[in-house]
Parts: sequence; C-alpha cells; structure tokens
Amino acid sequence: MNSLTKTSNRILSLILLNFSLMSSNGNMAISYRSIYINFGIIWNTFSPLIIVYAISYIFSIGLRGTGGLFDIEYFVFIFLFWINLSTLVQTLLAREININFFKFKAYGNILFISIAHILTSLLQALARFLFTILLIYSLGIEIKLMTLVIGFFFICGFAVSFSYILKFLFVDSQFFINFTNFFIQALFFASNIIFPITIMPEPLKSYLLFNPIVHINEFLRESYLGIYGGFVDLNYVGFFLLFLFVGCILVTLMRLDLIYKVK
Amino acid sequence: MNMLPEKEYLELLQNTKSVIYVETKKSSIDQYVVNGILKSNKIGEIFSPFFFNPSVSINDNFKFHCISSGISEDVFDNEFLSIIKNLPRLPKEECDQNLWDFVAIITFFKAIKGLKIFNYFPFPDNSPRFKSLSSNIEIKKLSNIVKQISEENKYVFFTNSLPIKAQYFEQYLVFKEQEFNGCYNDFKEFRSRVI
Repeated sequence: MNSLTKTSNRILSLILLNFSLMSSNGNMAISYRSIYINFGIIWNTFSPLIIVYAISYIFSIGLRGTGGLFDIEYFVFIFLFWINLSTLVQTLLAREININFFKFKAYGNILFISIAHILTSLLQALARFLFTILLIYSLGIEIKLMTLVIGFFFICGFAVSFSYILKFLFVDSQFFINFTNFFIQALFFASNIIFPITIMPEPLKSYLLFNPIVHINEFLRESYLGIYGGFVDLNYVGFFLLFLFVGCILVTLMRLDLIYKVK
Repeated sequence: MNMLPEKEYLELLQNTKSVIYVETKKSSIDQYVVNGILKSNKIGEIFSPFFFNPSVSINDNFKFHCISSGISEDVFDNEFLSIIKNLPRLPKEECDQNLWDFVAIITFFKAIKGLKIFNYFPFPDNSPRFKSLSSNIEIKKLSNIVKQISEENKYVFFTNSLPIKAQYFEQYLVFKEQEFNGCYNDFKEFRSRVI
C-alpha cells in the first residue's frame, strides 16, 4: 500500500472516530427492546441550527420595517456561517492531541488529527448549509444560490485556515483555548453579523473593514438588498485567505516535531 | 535472568517476532519507552492499553482500525464479525471489560498481521479472571478465537505473572514463546538496552 493510500486511510479512520465520538458523548440514544438507535451524530450536527433559526426568526419578526435588513432568506445564512465558523474553531481547539489513545499511534500526530477534524466539521457545516437551503426552498422563499455558495466557501476557507493556525500555535494549551473562545465571542459583536457596516460609526468602520468576515457578510447583504455601500472588497478576502494559507504552512513547519513525534 | 548484550538484543528484536508489553503507572514514562523502542527498531505500531479508544464503542474502534490499517473486514472470522456487529455501541466504561480487551487484542493481531510488530496478549487461560468469564457466551466464543490464533502463531505468548516485578513498572517484558529474551526490572537498565 503506498503512502498516499495509507495517509488517506488514516485520515478517513480519524473522521470515522470523530463521528463515533459524537455518538458516544452525546447520550442521544434510545433503547427499546432489541432496537437501539443513536441520534448522536444528527444531534451534534444539527443542534446549532435551533439557535440559528430561533434568532433569525425573532429578528425577522421583531425588527420588521428596517428596510429588509433582517429578511430571513439571507440573515439566517449570515448567522449560520458564523455558527459554522465558531463551531469549527472551538471544536478543533478543544480536540486534545496529547491523549493516551493518540500517543500510542504512529499517526496520532497533530497534522492528521487536525485535518480529520477539519474535514469532519466541514461535512457537518455543509449538511447544515444544505438543510437550511432546502428548508428555505420548502417555505417558498426565493434565494440567490450562487451568492450563498460563494459566501459559504469564503467563510469555510477562513474558518479552516484560522482554526488550523490557532491549533498549531496553541496545541492543547487550555489557557489559550479559553482566551480564543472569548475572542471568538467578542468577534461576533465586532463584526457586521447583526447590523450592516454602513450604520457603524466612522472610526470603528475603518477598523472593522480589516476583518474579512465583514466583507463576506456585507457581500451577502448587498447582493440581497441591492444597496451598494462601496465597502465590499472580495479581493481583500482572497488575499487575506492567501496570507492565512502561508501562515498555515509556516505553523506546520514550526510544529514538525509534533508531526514526526512517534516515528 | 537471561540478559543479552545490547547488540545481540537489538539484532534479536529486528529479526524475530516478539511480544512486548509496556505499561507503567505513569503514561508519560510509557510513551518515553515506546518512543525508544520505535526509534531503535523502526516499528510503526505497538499494542497498548489504549489501542482501542475508551470513549467509543467496540464496533467503532474495530472499523477505525480496519480503515486506518487498510484491511478488509473479510480477514476476520464470520463468527467474530457477527459477535461484534451485534454489540451495543457503548464506550469502555459501560462495556464488559473482558469483552473489550478480547476484541482489542484480536483486532490488533489481525489488523497488523504480516507486519513486523510487537504483540501483547495479557490473558492466560488459567487466570481467575478468565475462569470467571464462563457465563458470558460472547466472551467464551471470542476466547476460543484467541486460542486458535495463539495456536496458529508460534510467537504469541500469554502471561500475567512475571518472575520479577519491576520497581517502577507494572510489567516489562520481551518474550518469544520458545526463547525468553529478557526481563528488566530497572528503568535505567531497560532504557540502556533499548535506546
């Protein structure tokens, strides 16, 4: 078996392990006579949607008359993308590398574990995205599919590279993991998820535009509302992702000792 | 105690299929020793109490190792497969410990068979623990499979008692069935032999 097949097998098996952990940790099992059904994976994947749908519904109903700022057909996706991002970052950081199970595995290194975890989270994010699209379609609401797909890929690209860099920098350091979780929560308010960039005060606006998420959200909002504020720059997002990609390579080189720790 | 010179010892490790079991009270020391063995002998995998992830079920662990080792489930006996596929998906703490260990051992042996690997089988036929298993049909069936494997492979060694217990370690063994290679009861001595 060549090394590429071995590597893909190992990553595939780690993805399976991630889904197995969802089953075992969620306590979402029903046992009736000889029938045993475990909803762990479904629950872990789709439970974030409850808060996404609830918040989107509350905003769309409660803040009607704001010129379509909180129309559910795109606001739900802006919020969903944010949940996907924060879930990916937080769960990857929380994934412990230095546990005994991995210590005794030749491939239990930070690279394989991180890649497998990222792929698992991306599969879940895609499932949530597709489910929401189907739900919006089933409600008879028109959506701009291409715009949403572009937004989804940009946010996923940002989430993957950002979480990868943080994981390789902090590894299992609980202090930095807590700090990052706090930072992610703060970033929610420091971006334009709820309110558009156009209504932000001038000094704050120029700082917020350094955040690529602001550009992606504004792109979605402007595409739907048809009101262009001239702030969106997807080129900036592209270059930022390129910069993060270089950062990923650098942190990988920095942690070669953790990648080749066993063999 | 039969102590070999370092050079002979390493040659023996490289040219024979042996049984090694490393388990200490501190997992960090385990890792240190395992790393030493792996580096000195270029071995990719070693059996440990953590071969199966205690957080997920037997079935999931089994599939995990089949995929990661790139082997088909067909290499396992039908009886074995039917037993583990019908087991409830419970983590180790909720599962029968003997059943868990048996399946882990069989999976380890089968999944890496053919590779140059150190194997460990901690269940002797005559131990009280083994005798207490008679009420569990699954374990009885599995124990027969373990016996069969041990008969087929001349390098498998079963033990739970040692001539000398290590000072810092629960057990330290380098075994072949026919030839006892060494048993070290001192960490420094063992390390000097291995690294």
